[in-house]
Amino acid sequence: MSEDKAKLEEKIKKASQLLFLRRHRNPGVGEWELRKVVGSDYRAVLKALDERLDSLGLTVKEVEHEGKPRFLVTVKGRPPLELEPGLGWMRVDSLAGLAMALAFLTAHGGRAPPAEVESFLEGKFPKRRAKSLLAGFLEEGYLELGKGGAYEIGWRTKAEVDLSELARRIISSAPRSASSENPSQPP
Amino acid sequence: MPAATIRERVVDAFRKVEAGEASPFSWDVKASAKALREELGPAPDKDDLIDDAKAVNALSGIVGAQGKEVEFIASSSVLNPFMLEKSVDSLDVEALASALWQSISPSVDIPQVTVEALIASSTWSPSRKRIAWSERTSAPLPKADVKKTDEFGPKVDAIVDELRAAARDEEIDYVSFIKRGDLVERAYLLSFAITDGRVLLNVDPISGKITIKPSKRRVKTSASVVIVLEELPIE
Repeated sequence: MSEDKAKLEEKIKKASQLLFLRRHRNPGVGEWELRKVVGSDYRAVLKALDERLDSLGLTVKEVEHEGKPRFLVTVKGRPPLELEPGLGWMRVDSLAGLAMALAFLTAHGGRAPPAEVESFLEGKFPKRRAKSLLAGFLEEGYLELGKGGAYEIGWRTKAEVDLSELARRIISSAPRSASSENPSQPP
Repeated sequence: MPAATIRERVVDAFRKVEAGEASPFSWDVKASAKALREELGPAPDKDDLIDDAKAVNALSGIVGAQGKEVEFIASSSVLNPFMLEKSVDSLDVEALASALWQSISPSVDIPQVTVEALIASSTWSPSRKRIAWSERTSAPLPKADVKKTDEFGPKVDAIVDELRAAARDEEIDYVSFIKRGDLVERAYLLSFAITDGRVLLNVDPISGKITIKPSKRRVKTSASVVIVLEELPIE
């Protein structure tokens, strides 16, 4: 193995350790950490890592977080497993709460006052549960607080969720009477 | 009370747009720009110019928000937001969860939970109930029975001296050091020595291992490092 190849291998190992082992509350790693640990050619290293992850159904994604690039590994495409309570990743009601919050924000141009989002979630969850779900989504980066205090789509949602697919699936799953009711209503 | 001038109305509108209380398209930007120009008049004084600049800045913020919303709507391809909201109302929790599950590519990572940490979490305080994040920092203190009394200073001095004797200018493992006595009390005392610059703390960015060593000269630090005792690998 040439010296360059050996160096690349070493850097791929370092990058994968940074990306896979969560050291902060949220997944992913900032550009500065990659630059510090892997080196200035970290993008080439991430590309090489991405090619290897492809066969496992995973991919390296870049997303903007607080104006800076952040990198994380996600499942490539949709998760191959069926959703079931024992999956252990996120509770079913948390998934539903997140779907509701994201759908509400999508329907309101990407931002809405916290009280309105909370009130929307209270349609399906008790007030206290709605509050705690939203607090969790904020903490996990699925939602963000904008400058004016409005809820906005978070960096993690941008990395993980296909919002147009979510909207399409919600509308197509709804009973026909609900989805066709007042279809000409303007946005 | 409604805002009196067009400048105040523009600034107020921008605040509402930023707070998500109003759509950026609910404001006629072109008419506002014209009205602002008229309100400024031919001979504005310094205060007028300052207020006008604030209003123009707010107006540009509204234009920016319009751009963002157009970009968002275009990227999310939602043709009928009203229908989306109604559809959410008509679905049950399972159907909503399923819709998200089919639209998500979850991030993949491994929380650094060791076997030791798992054992520690069950044996350290088996009856401990889940503590809310907001209460965590204050929760262990009553147990440690450490108070800022006259004996507090000497206790910090003693733990720094102990560290000096143990470390001999080398870095030593934080966890094994605090485990030598009452874990919570020693961690609490050390935190003051660290803030005071008498002890240097280092967290390895790769392994997460925490090491400490006595400082040769006292350099106070304002940086904070959160160490959650429950998450340490304590046997």
